[in-house]
Parts: sequence; C-alpha cells; structure tokens
Amino acid sequence: MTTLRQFTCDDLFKFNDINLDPLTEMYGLGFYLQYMARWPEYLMAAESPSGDLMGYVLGKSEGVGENWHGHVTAVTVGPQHRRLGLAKKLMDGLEVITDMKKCYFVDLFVRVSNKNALSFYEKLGYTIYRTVLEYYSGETDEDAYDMRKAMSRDRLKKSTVPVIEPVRIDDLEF
Amino acid sequence: MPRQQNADTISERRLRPIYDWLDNGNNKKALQEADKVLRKQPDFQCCRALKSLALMRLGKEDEALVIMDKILSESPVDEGALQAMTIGYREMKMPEKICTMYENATKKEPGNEEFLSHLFMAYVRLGQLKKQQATAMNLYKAKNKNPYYFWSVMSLVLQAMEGDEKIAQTVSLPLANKMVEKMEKEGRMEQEQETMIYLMILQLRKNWKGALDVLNGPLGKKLENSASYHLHCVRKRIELEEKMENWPEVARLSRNILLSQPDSWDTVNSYIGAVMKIQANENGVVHEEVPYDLKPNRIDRSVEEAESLLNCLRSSFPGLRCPYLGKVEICHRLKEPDRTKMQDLLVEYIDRFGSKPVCFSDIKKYLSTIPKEDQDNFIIKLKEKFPEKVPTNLEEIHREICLSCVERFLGRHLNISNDVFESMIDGLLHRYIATQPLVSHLESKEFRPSDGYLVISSHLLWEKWMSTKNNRYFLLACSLLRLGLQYSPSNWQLRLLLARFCGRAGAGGLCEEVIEPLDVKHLMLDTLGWMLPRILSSTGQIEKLDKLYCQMIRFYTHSPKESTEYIIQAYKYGNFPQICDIQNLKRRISSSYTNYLVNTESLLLSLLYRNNMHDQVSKTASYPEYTQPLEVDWDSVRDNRDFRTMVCYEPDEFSPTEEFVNFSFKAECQYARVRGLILRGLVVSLGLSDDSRDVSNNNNNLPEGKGNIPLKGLIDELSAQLENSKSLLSSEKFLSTPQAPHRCRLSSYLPSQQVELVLSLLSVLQSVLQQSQSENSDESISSPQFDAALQRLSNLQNLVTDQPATDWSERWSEMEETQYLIETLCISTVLAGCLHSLFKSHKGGKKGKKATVSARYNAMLPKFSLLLENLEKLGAKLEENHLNKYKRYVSEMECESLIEYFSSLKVNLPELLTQEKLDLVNKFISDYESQQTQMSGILAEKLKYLESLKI
Repeated sequence: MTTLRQFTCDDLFKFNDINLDPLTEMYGLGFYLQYMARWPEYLMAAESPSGDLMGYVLGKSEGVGENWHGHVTAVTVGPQHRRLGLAKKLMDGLEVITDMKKCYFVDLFVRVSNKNALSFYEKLGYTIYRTVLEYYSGETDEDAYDMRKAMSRDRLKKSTVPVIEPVRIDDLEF
Repeated sequence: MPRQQNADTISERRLRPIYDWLDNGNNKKALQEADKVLRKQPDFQCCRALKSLALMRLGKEDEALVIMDKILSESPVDEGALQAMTIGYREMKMPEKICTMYENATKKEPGNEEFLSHLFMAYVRLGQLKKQQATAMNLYKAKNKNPYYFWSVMSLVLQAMEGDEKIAQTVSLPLANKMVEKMEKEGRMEQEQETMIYLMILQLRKNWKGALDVLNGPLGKKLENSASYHLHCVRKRIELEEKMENWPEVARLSRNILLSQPDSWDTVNSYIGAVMKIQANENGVVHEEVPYDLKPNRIDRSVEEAESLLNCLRSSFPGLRCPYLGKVEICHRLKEPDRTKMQDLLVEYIDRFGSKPVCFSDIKKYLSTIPKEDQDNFIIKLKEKFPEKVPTNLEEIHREICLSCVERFLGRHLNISNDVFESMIDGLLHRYIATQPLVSHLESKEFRPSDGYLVISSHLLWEKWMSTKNNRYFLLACSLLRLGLQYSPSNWQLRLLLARFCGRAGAGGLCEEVIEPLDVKHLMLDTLGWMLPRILSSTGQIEKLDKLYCQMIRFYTHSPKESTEYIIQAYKYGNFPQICDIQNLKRRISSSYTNYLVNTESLLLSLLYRNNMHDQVSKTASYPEYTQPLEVDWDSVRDNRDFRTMVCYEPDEFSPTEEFVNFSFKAECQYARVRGLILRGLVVSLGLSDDSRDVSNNNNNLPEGKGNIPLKGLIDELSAQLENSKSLLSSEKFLSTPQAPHRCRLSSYLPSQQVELVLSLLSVLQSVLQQSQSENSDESISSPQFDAALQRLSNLQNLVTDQPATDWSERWSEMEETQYLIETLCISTVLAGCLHSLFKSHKGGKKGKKATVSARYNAMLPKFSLLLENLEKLGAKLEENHLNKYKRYVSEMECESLIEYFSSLKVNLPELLTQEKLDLVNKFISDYESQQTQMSGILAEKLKYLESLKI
C-alpha cells in the first residue's frame, strides 16, 4: 500500500493526523513551499487506500565536491500507519533519488534522546558521524547526532568516517 | 572611463555608511548621513532612495513616498536606487510602482537581462500573466536562454488555467503547445522541466495521445532516467492509457509494475479496473488456457487471471496488504458479488492484518457493503475466529480494537439495553487496565495502542450522553479521557475528544486548555480552525477568542504574500508544475471561508466589545480594515476544514459524510454573509452619523444605495440574505457526533432575531437621514420605523426568560443564544449612538450652532427616549438573566460533584476517576465564573453608555 508519489500542496491540508505528533515539527507554510519550489522531487508522500495521507519525507540535495549530498529534513508516519515499514520505504525513496543524483552521502539530524529514531536509522545503515551541540532549542536545549549513510558514489565510505570532536550549530555548513 | 569608475567608487564609498546604518536599524543616523551626502550631490538617486527608506522606517512615510515618486519619474537605471526603491515600495505595499519602475528602466535599456527579469518577477507578484508572458519573451530575445522561453510558455499556461476555458482551449493552450513543439522540432529542449511543461499542456488540452507519444519518445526516456522524475513517469503512463481507454495496455503496464512493486495500491486498482474492462468488452470470448506465470508483459483478460496474479503475489510476498486487499476489491467490483466470499476475504484480512492499526480503515469501505441481513452472521464468524481473551501483546490489542471498531461500524453499539451498554463499558475499561503492563514501556510521546479502548468507550459514552442526557456519562467520559491523557499526553485523539466534551458542556476556556498542548498553528489554524473559535465565541470567552482571531488573521494575511515569493522561486528553478500547485494553494488559503468568517467576526468583536463610547466606536470603524472589507466571491469560497483527523467508527449514517459537511459549509457561508452585512451596516451607520467623514467614498463594497442614502441597498440585501438563511436552515441536516462539524451557527443565530432588530434599527436611521434632508421639519416621518423597532425590541425582551434548564449536552448552544442576545444589545447601543449623534450633529441644523438637538428632530425625541428605555430594560434583564443562569450552572456542577457516580463500575478505577472528576468540576466552575465575569462587565459598560445617550 505504499506507492510513493510527489507531495503536493493539497497534502498540507490532509496531514494533521501526522503533524499533531509532538515529534513531528509543524513548520510554517514557507518552509514547505521552499522545498516544493526548489526540491519537489525530494518531497514524497504515501497515501492509503482510503485516501488518507500515511506519511511523508522532506529532503533536499546540496553541497559541492565531495560534500554533494542528500539531506533528510523530516520523515514521519501517522500513528494509524505505523508498523507497516513505511518510514523505511520513504527513506529508500529518498536514497534512490540521492543515488541517482550521484550524491556522496545522505545525512540527517536526530535528537540524542530519541532512541527509537536512532535505532531506526541505524537499522537503515546510518551511523553517527558527529554530535552537534545544542542543535535543538526549546525549554532545554538538546544535542543532535549528525548521522550519515554513504551512497554508491562514495565507494570507500569516506564521508561517514566519524568525527570525534563535537561541533556547534554555527560550524555546520548547511 | 577611468574617471567614471573613479566617480562610482567615490559614490560607493559615500553610500557605505548609510547602508550600514540601515542594516543596523539606526535609521536616524542613516538619514543624517544621507542628508550629508546629498548636500554634495543633490541628484544622487541611490542616496535619495536610501534616504527615503530611512524616512519610511522612521514613520515618515509620506515624505519618503514623495522622494521615491520623484525618483520614479526620473526613470532610474541605477542598480542601487532600483534595489532600494523596490524595498521601499514593497514595504509600503505598492508593488505596482515596482513594475512601473522596471518598465521605465527596460525602456531605457531594453536588453538589460537583470532589469527584465526584475520586471518579470514584479509582474508575477501582481499576477499580471500577459505582461509576464511578454517580458519573458523579451528576456528570451535578449539573451536566448531556454528558461526564459519557458517562463513565457508557463505564463501562457497559467492564463489558460485561470481564465475562460473556451479561450484556453482555442487560443492560449494551442499557442503554448506550438511554442513548445517548435523547440522540440528544432531539438532545443534542454531540461527535463521543459518536457514536464510540455506534458502539462498536452494534458490540459486533453490530448492524451500526444502526451503519451512524448512520454514514450526520446524526451520521455530522458525524463524517466532522471532522478527527479522517474517516479512521475511510471504512474503517468498508466494514467494516460486509462484516459485513452486502452485497457490491454493499462493491464500490461500495471501488471509489470506489480511484479516488482506488489504493494502499490494505485496500480492494483488500475490493474483490476483494466482487466475487468477487458473481460466485459470481450464478453465471453474464450482464450486458450495457458498455465499462469509471472513473466512480464502478459495481458490478463479475466477476473480469474487477476485473482491468479494476486494469489501468486500473496504467496511470494505474504507480508504485503495489497495482494490481499486486491482480492477484496475484485469481489467488491463484481456486478453480483459473492456475499459469502466477501465475508470470508474480510475475515481473512483481519486475521492477517488486524494486528496493524491501519486494518479497520483499509476494510471500512467494504464492510459497509455487507447487507444488513448478513451482518450478524459476519460478526459471529469473527467471534468464532477470534474468541475473546485478554491480549498478551501489542498486536493482539490492535486486533481486538479493530474488532470493536468493526462491531461499532456495523451498528452493534446502537439500540442496546442499559445492561449491555454498561457491560460493554466495563469490558473496554477492563481491557484498558489489563493491557497497561503491555504498554508501560512505551515512551510518553508514543501512541499507546491500549488508548483505543478509551476512544471507543468515549464514543459510546458520548452517544449515551446525547440520548439520555444523563450527566453521569459525560462525567465518566471526561474523567476517563483525563486519566488516559496522564499516561498518553501526546494522544491527540483523546485530547480532541475531551475538548469536544468540554465545549459541548459550555466550558470554552477549558476547551482551549485541553487543546493547547497540540500547538495548533500555521496551516492547522485553517484546517482545524473550525473547532475552538466557535466554542470560545459561544461561551463568551472574548479575551481568548480575540487572541486566537489575531493569530488566524496573521496567518491569512501573510500566507498569500509568502506563497508568491515561492512561486518566484519555482520559476527560478524551472519547477513548473509547482508554480500551479503553489498558485492553487495560495488561492485555497485566501478563499477559505474561515478566512472571511474570522475576519468579520474579529472586526465585530473589536467594534462591539472593545469600545463603548460613540467616538471610539466611530473611530475604530474608520480604520481601513473596516472601510475596505475583503472582497469575497462567494461562488469560489473554499472549505478547508478537516474532519478526518478524529477517528470515526460510526456507521455511515452517523459519520460526517460529504453531505453533512457540505450542508454545514453552505450554512456557515450563509452565516458569514449575513454577518458581513451586519458589520457593513454598522460601519455605514457610523460613517453617516459622523460629520467628519465622507462615507460615500469609503464604502466601495456597498450595494448601490438609492440617492445618497447608502443604507437602503444594504437593508434590502440584508433582508434578502435573512430570507435565504431562513430557508437554508429549514432544510438543516446535522450530526451530534464528536467528529462532525458543529451544528451550524444559523441554528442559534436566527432564533436570536438579531438580524430583524438590526434591520429595523437601520430603517430608523435611514428615515432619520431622510428627514434631515426633507423640507418638512415638523411631521415625523420616522415614526412608523421607530414603532417597528420598538416592537422588535419587545419581542427580543420576551426571548430573555429564565427558560427551563437545558441539559449539559446542549449547554453550549444555550450559551450561544444568550451570547447573540448580548451582542444584539451591543449592536443596538452602537446604532442608538449613531442616532444620538445625528440628532446632535450640525447636519441639517443651522450653521454655527452648537451641537444641540436640531429642532427638526424634536418630534422624534420621545420615540428615541422610548427606544433607549427599552434597550436599558433589555440590558438589565439580560444582566440579571445571565447572572442567574451562571449561578444555576455552577450550582448544578457542585451538586453533580457530590454524587458518587463511579462506584458501580466493575473495574478497579473509581478512586482515580473520582479525583479526575473533582478536578474537572472545579475547572468547569472557574471557567463558568470567568465567562460570567467577562460578559457581565460588558453589559454593565453598555448600560452605562446607554445612560449617557439620554437627551
């Protein structure tokens, strides 16, 4: 039941059952539109047989030279559609595009406390590349892991060799 | 040249500090610096433009505008000046001047790529498609770059989409098509995006064959091999073949996809549809039997073959739902479905996938096709297959909840005896408690499967509360939901349900408190904005409502502008389909009915509750948001409300189907129209009674008035809309389930007779104005109008009675009716203020005379006094009635809190629940008190004001 299709603006009116989740960020309209205007292929949605939106992935590709990479901004699945391997399908979809674009790696940020997400990404082959201090702001700031997975272009997986020293948010290039 | 360069560098050096001060927000310094430079170079355009920016940011917009307009008239081509002026005009919301500016610049330098592209974007911001198209073509001619050519094509396509369909099909689209074809023939198509626009045009022309040819040709191949569009191509090809009704090809293509992606539901649907069409078309043609195989490119021609394919896929991929649901779909689509087979397939589906939370929504559509007489049998089958037992893992919890949903959906929760009901609740709660150890390891932000038992219990309790009006069910449901939220604070199903319970019983503040952690913002304000504002307004929570309205209005004002910037981005990246998509989104948000309603309601709120004295009210009503209302095309208003987020297991007849939602939408639009006219009535009346304002120019959105009395047209339109509303309400359809839209506002608004009273008061005002222009000053021509208004007012007073107490489930609507009465009083005081001001104004009186009552109005004064007296009476009665009602609400709550309701439950929860109930009751009481205080305060102020109007 998991055909991926391009995410469209109309989906924004149907995604409440996904975005009310406290672990899914509800961004301002401009944020989604920025992705849509620039990286529409990186916005993918999965729709259920009953026409509900089941989940979506939001990503982009950027960087130069060996830093040319795909990035996962958000991947999320509504509670009714969990336990179906949907998040993996969405991630796979994003990786296929990234690979076709001849990127070196895919990266993403995850809260260090989000054990479920962490182990999910690890299962998909992502490894912790480095720690970003106080990446998430809120009542208490939280560090993020910058996780990476090498794409086929990076045969030696150079892009994923971990950096031990943590970095600050200002040091991030993207 | 060196001298020129030198001069440029000097100028640049002189401007630097001004830019720096502006960047740092020190506008005063920027202004001083600019003046310094201008003393040496008074004509320096860029410096003057920067000066105007500084002035504008210092609040001296008029001065700034004079400078900018002067520069504009000089047709500047200096980049710095153009940039600064673009910022200036944009901030002053004069985008059309940016166009003029770049039009002038491109006239001077026709080949300047930068100016032309700025001009193009400026037209995009204004939505001037034809000019966009021409500018893009000029750009292409100047620079010969493909993207510009396609900007022009895209502008043409947008004209086709926005304009008249016939012109689109005969003029714009054929032209766009020709433009792209030319590029194709000359082999000059470069980017995949260009092929995308080509496909878009062909599809808009319904030229499916042409689109397919492109897709199957070299351009399509390139598209398919690209990272960005490969997903798009696969589905598009099938879609186009379907349009061409080329069923064998659809069957072949979709089958090929299914072999590698067996879980693609769209494809299964296309495949089944195509195979069944082929079978129907061939009508009995017998094909040679060949053993079924999974080789690609085979064309399946019969339902049997389709089933064979699905069977093969099932055994190869046992974990996937599509091949299973596909068989159910086939059974469903057959003209004479095999009823037993359908049931068996559904039982099988639940057996395999019941452990997934999605199971019920997958099969809902098919469950509703089980005939009534088969339903018992089906339930028995399920019970035999899945005997009741306490779940031992999360999968079993999901399955048991799925089974409960099926029973509820098939109406097994309807018309049950009290005993059965109680034992159902006991059973569900028992399960909720018994399964806690299975979910206790889950983090608080995760959904706990066992919460599903609480959701179904709450649905049951809601229904029972509605049908019996027994508050025990209400208190039990709320206490359970509150208890559940302690363990699952992130479960929005529990939260939204609790909010609906609280709202229904008239606790607006509490409703907001419950919803608050969901952090409803941005676009959700539009989609979920139907829920909270209504409750806050019906319960008189003015402060909270005002805050929420502000947030919503900010969203509605900001979003369309923001969207335009992303349309520009999409042009830059050549993402043409996204241009249409974002354009549609922009339209969808700005024409959202919630946008119009919230706009009107919030203006009414400020006018009526935030101000008392005539001068204040009159001043407020002279602000542009009042005098220049949003233009509304009621035929294209959109309903963006989301009723799908709250889960619903109700049988079809009780679920918010399109029919119910559509009626609610229609009725709400009608309400918004009436309210818009009431607001206009107030604004026009205030304008007419104000000497200092010339309303004839201000109210451009008004229906044409007769002569110089614009009220006449307004009165006629309001009367007509009142009639429309009444007739619409008489065919009302509504549901009282928690997932359904609120009952339409007209249902409590029309009985309040607000519109009738406003109509009669406007007529009074109109006749007084006529009188002021009439030669005859003795005889009062307003008398009948006054009498009619007085009659209306006395009718209204009769509505304010200590009605017998309504039950709690209707409390919000009782409160809403009271709220409208209070509002009516507020409106009447404003209109009385207008009359008072007219009587005292110089209009019609002798010049130079002090503001005393003109003699020509003398005859009206007794009636006016009578009106004031009656309004005072109404106000006093409302005040007393309001207080009494709230006293009753509070004492009822207190009494209920003493009753030991939960001891009969067979589960070990009563103590916890009783604590929750006590907390809830306290919250209710304090909420009621805050509501009562807010409205009593307003009533007292209005009464004080009425006193001041006495002549």
